[in-house]
Amino acid sequence: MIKEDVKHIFDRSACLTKKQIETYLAGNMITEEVYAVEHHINGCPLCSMALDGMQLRKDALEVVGQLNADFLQAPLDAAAQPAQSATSAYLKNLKPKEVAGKPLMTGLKLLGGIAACAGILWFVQKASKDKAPETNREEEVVTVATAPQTEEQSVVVEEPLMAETPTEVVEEPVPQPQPVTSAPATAQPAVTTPAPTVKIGPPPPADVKKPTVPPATTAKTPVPAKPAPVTAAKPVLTPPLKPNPVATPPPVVREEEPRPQPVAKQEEPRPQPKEEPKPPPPSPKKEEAEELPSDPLAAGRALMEKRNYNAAIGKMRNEMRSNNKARRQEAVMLVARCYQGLGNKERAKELLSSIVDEGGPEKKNAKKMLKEVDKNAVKGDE
Amino acid sequence: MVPDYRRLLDEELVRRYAEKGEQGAFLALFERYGHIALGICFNHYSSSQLAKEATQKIFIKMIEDMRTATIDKFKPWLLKSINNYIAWNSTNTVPVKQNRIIAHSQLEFEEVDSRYEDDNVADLIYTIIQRLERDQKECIELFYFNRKDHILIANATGHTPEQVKGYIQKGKIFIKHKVQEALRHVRP
Repeated sequence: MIKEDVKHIFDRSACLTKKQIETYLAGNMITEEVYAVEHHINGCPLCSMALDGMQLRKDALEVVGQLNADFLQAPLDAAAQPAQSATSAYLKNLKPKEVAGKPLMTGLKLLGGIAACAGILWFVQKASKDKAPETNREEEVVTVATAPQTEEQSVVVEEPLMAETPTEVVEEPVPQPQPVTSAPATAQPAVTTPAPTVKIGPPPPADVKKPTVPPATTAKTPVPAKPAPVTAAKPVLTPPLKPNPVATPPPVVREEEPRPQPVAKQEEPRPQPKEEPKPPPPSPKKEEAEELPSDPLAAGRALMEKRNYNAAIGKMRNEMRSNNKARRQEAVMLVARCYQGLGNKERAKELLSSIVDEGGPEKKNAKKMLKEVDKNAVKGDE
Repeated sequence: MVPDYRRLLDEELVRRYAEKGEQGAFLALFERYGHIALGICFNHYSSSQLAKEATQKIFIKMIEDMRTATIDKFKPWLLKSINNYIAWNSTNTVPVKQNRIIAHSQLEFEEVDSRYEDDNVADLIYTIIQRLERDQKECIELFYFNRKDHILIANATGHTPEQVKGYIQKGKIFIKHKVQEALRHVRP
C-alpha cells in the first residue's frame, strides 16, 4: 500500500483553474478535492506561489474575476498585422509597379505612334507639296516642250523655275515646323483622337497634354471642369459638406470601433451579470458586516449560530492557518461543528481527531465532541 | 474547423501560436495561466490593481516573446517571464517573505518520468524518506501515506499550514535529487 502511495508522490497534474482556486480559498471543497489541490501545490511552484499571493489579499478573488482576455485582443491583432501586412505590402508593392509600368509603356507606345503618324502626315504633305511644283514644272516643261522656244529661253525659263522651287522649298522649311505645329490644325482629328488616349497615362500625360491638347480643347476637358463643379457646387455642397466632416470621421471610427465594439460587447455582458448579482449579495454582506463582529472567529461563530455553515467555514478558513495555536484550534473546533451541521461527519471527525492528537486548550472539548459525533453517527446508523 | 484548444498541451499551443499565429492558442494559454500569474504578482505588488496591470503587461510582452523565443517547456518559461518582469519593474514591488522565495526558487516542475513507477525506484524513494529530517519526514508521511491535508497535518504536528507545505516541498526536492542521482549511476 505504501509502495503504491510512494509511486504517486511525483504524479503530475494540470494547474489549478480559477474555480478550483476560488472554491479552495472559500473552503468549500470536500476532503478529496482539498487533498488533490494540495498534492498539486506540493509540486507546482506556479500554483503554490499563486495561492500564497491570493491568500495575502482580501479582494484577490474579485480581482481574479475582473481579469479577462479583452485587453489582449488589440495587441494580438497588432502582432498579427505585421505578418499579414508583410505579404500584403509585398504584393501591393509588386502590383503597382506592374500596373504603373504598363501605362508608361503604353503611353510611350502611343507617343511613338503619334509621332510616327505626325511624321507620315508631314512627309505626305511635304511630298504632295513637292509634287505640286514638280507638276508645275512638268506642265511648264510640257509647255516648253510644246512651245518651240530657244534653248536659252528655255534655260532662262527653267532657271527661274529652279529658283522658284528653292524659294518655295525655302519657304516650306519655314512652315516645316508649322506643319508639325499646324498639323493639329490641319489634321485635327488625328491629333485630337490620341489626346484622350494620352490621358490614360496618369503621370506622363501632364507633359504630353501641354503640347498636344490645344487650349480650346483643354478648356473643355478636366481643367475647367474641376473648378466649375466646385464653384457651382459650393452652395449645393455646403450642406452635405457640413455633415461630411462629421460623417467622414465616423467611418474611421466605425472602422476602429468594430474592434473595440466586440470588446465592449464582451465587457458589457460580463460585468452586467456580475454587477446585477453583486448588489444583492453586498447588501446582506453589509448587513452581516454591520451585525457581525470584526473578529473572524466571533463572526464565524455568529454565522454558525445562524446555521450559515458554508459562510462560517469561509470566514474561519484563514484562522485555521493561524500561527496562534489557541485561535487555530478554536477555529478548527467551530469548523468541525459546521461540518457536523452540514452532515459531513467524516470531515468533522478528522478535524476533531487532529486536535486531540495535537493536544492543547481545545483537546478536552474536541474529545467530547468526538464522542457526540460518534453517538450521533451510531444513532443515525440505527 | 476550429480546434478545441482546451484539450491541447501547453507546448502544442505555444507551437501553434508561434508558427501559425493562431490567436486562439494564445488566449487558451491566458485562460490557463492568467489567474495564476496574477496570484504570483499579488506577492510582489502593493496593490491588487498594480498586480493586475503587471499581469496584463506580462502577457502583452509574451505575445512578441513567444514568437521569437525557443520554448521547450511552457510553465518554467512562464515563471521566468513573470520573475523577469517583476525584477525589471521593481519600483512598485514590495518585499516578499524570505522563506517563501527560497522555497519556490528551489521548487521544480514535475516531469513525466515512468521510472518513478518502477518497484525498485519506489523502494529507493521510501528509504530516502526515512532519511529525511524529522519534520519533513513527518509531514510527507502524513500527507502521502495517511492522505491528510495541510490543515490536518498542521493540527497534528503543531506547525502552521505554511510550514507544512514548506516541509513537504523541500522534502520532495531532496527526494527527487537523490533519486535522479541514483538513477544516473544505475543507468548512465
